[in-house]
Amino acid sequence: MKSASKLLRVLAVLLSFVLVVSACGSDGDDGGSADGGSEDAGSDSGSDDAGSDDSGSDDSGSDDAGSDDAGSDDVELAQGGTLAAVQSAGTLQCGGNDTLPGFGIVDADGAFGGFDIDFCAVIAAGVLGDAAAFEVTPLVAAQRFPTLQSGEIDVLIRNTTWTASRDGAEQANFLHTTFYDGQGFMVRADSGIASLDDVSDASICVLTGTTTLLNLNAVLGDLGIPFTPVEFESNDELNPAFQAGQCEVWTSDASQLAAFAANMDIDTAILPEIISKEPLGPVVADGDTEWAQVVNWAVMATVQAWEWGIDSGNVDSFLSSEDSSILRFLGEPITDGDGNTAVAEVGLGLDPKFAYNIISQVGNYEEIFEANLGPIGLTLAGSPNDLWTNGGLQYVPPFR
Amino acid sequence: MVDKAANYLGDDIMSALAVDSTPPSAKLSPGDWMKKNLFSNAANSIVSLIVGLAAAALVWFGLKWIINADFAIIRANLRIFLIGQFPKEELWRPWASAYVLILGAGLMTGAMARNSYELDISQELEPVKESWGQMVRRFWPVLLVSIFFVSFARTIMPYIGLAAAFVLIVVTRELGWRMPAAVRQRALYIGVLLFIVSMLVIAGTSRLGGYALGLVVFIWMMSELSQVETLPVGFVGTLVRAAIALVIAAAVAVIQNLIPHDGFGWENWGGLHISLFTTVVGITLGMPFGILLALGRKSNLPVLKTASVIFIEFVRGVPLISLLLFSNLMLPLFLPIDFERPADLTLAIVVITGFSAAYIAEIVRGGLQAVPKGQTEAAQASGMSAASVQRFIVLPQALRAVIPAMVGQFIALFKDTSLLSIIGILEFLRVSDTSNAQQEFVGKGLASVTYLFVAIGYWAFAYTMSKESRRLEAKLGVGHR
Repeated sequence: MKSASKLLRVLAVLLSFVLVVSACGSDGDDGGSADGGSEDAGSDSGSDDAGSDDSGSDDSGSDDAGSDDAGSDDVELAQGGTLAAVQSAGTLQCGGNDTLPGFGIVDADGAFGGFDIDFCAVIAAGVLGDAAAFEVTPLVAAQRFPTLQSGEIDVLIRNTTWTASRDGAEQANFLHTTFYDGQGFMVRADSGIASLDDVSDASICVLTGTTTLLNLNAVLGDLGIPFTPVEFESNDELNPAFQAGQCEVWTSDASQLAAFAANMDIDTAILPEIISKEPLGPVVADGDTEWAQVVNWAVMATVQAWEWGIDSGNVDSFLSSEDSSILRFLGEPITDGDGNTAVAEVGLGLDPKFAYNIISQVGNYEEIFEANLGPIGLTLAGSPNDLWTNGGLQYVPPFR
Repeated sequence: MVDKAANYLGDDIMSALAVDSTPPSAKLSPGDWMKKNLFSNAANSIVSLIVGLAAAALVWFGLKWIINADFAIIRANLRIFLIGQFPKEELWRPWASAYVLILGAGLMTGAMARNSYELDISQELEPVKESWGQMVRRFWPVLLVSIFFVSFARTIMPYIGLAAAFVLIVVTRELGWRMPAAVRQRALYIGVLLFIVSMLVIAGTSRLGGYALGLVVFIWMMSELSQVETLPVGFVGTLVRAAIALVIAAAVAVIQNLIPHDGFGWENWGGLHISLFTTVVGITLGMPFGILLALGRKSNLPVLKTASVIFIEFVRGVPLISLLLFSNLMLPLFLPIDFERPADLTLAIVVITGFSAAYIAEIVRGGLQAVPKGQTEAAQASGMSAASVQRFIVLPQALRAVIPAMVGQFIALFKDTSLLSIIGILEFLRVSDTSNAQQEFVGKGLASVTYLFVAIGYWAFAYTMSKESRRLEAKLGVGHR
């Protein structure tokens, strides 16, 4: 009994100690968050300025800032000032993939590479002026949003589909879509299946427990097409089964089907129907509008350059362009109607030459696509990822 | 057999018993052996045939698979498998680091073997010097697997490097054996210091490395100064000694920091190297913490006891993977905003050390309970201090009793390092996945090749640990005394 009461006393002392410490801790936190808040106020006014420069869109600009302030105070306090933090650290922390062919891999030299990783380089070039100034943290699917929220990474570019629930519940902020993917169907070239209508009564290979399987059941069910699903745990098992003819159709994301088809000994074809929308792009944490805008415009600069035909090879020749919008885009001085020559300041908080840095060090969208996704068998021309002027979906707001 | 026994009995029984009391050795010809063990009756024959055919088929298909398998993926990614994303132009660092490590290990083990040899002589026991043949038999899995790994290299350099490593092992061990007695007594410190230096060679100089060097030098100097008799004794003497040791240790740390920071730290570590490194660190740091926790749990001081119990039961009650995630995702939220985020590997090592300490603590506690109470009482009766009772009487017996469980924990820890991939560390097993995503290998079904390669790597080191534990048991007479 005596020892028990002694233990109780010790526990009481411990408890009070913990309380005191935690009280001190929260004091410190408050101080820190107050700092973060004031920083953010500054950045908000910055974006307001940018808004008033932009002739037509004053309202929407201030709306954005307002709703942001009201909605997510707590998150904002924890996350504010990412741009300043990244610039003072000198390194961009990028969450990526290391096992997705074409999008995020570790090559035989040990370097990260791929379409998504190149957009990490784009953001690093835009924000820091150095396309090599980024570090990749490879993430498994389940860890990507918690890692983003923890602040360990500044931006997540890991073939992440933009959905409403992720925008909402995961406190994620999806930016410009870099790749429009979708669930497609692959068949052997000699199978005689030309479209989904021919799939009737076919056996379809699919990974078990994925949204791919759910989509398959929903869409073919709605169309009234009977089929037999053949489920596999991993692509390592599914791939040989498909090649051995255990199923006539393989359904997965179209980009992945192409990656696997590129290494097959048999000829394959991908059906024209795409049954789901999988827009993939960079994601940042909610609550730092300034950072989201910076990342967004860095990524969109690659599409704008493509639209103007500027690539890493010819970007220097555009520095003496006659077109004032190109000069403004590349951060060159332009002469306005009154004869004043000055570098246009768009107010993003970036070096005016950020787009030039991106294009000269990494390249435009088309170059990034062809370098990473060309080898796995994806074509850009005529795909949803083509430029809007060619009938695709890649469209960015004007750079002025 | 029957004939033989009959003949034997036919001889003069008395003289036979007097001459040779051991049973006759049953040396059978292969044919007889098979008849006795495999085909003694019809049922056994059928079973033997079926099992034999199955084994033959297994070997046949296994060999066929190995011959037909495409090992290009291993050849292309060998460096990633072994040392991860280490920059190619800095490859001299892992090699130099390995050589410094071998130098330390060779000198230390050579000196220690000689020390125990001399001890045997002084105690008039039969001294044994282990032959190189015995060494090879002890470590054949690791030797074989390092040759196996290098056989995938595409240049001649790794072969030369490995051959040089083998030569260096022989030379340094013989050197350690021949060192003067005064140096040999300090071999442990030399070995540990060279271990840290080898880590600094591969990582570049760092503040952490300075602390580690300083700590070891401090402990070493304290033990050296304790033998200096001109210093005063008692509390003042301890203070003086600590001050002198601190100055020397600080000087070493400062000198280390003066060397320019030109390395990469351990951000780029990966592959088998990181698996082995975290295991070694987890064991060497986890052991002392674990023993302290076990003693703390058995202690009569309530605060110490409660703290130990809470730590052990919390860590043991939570999966390692969740601790890793906690350290990676939650811990930074508790740190001050302007606090530089520790490297992933730093967090991982803290977690792995704590995790292994908790498990080791429970194993050691089991050992402590196996020591009869009479041992403690007898030691106390002979006037030993509480610390000495634990240090010289209880712990040696307790630790000896739990060697198998302890080594089991070490092997489990080695394999648990594959969980590090969850926090973005490219460890040995993960390389299998990443290399299969490369464009030239994707979708070719090569995962079986890479998994086999990784399995052989894990097996070689785990089996060596297991062999060493059995050797240690035999040496310490576990199960006989």
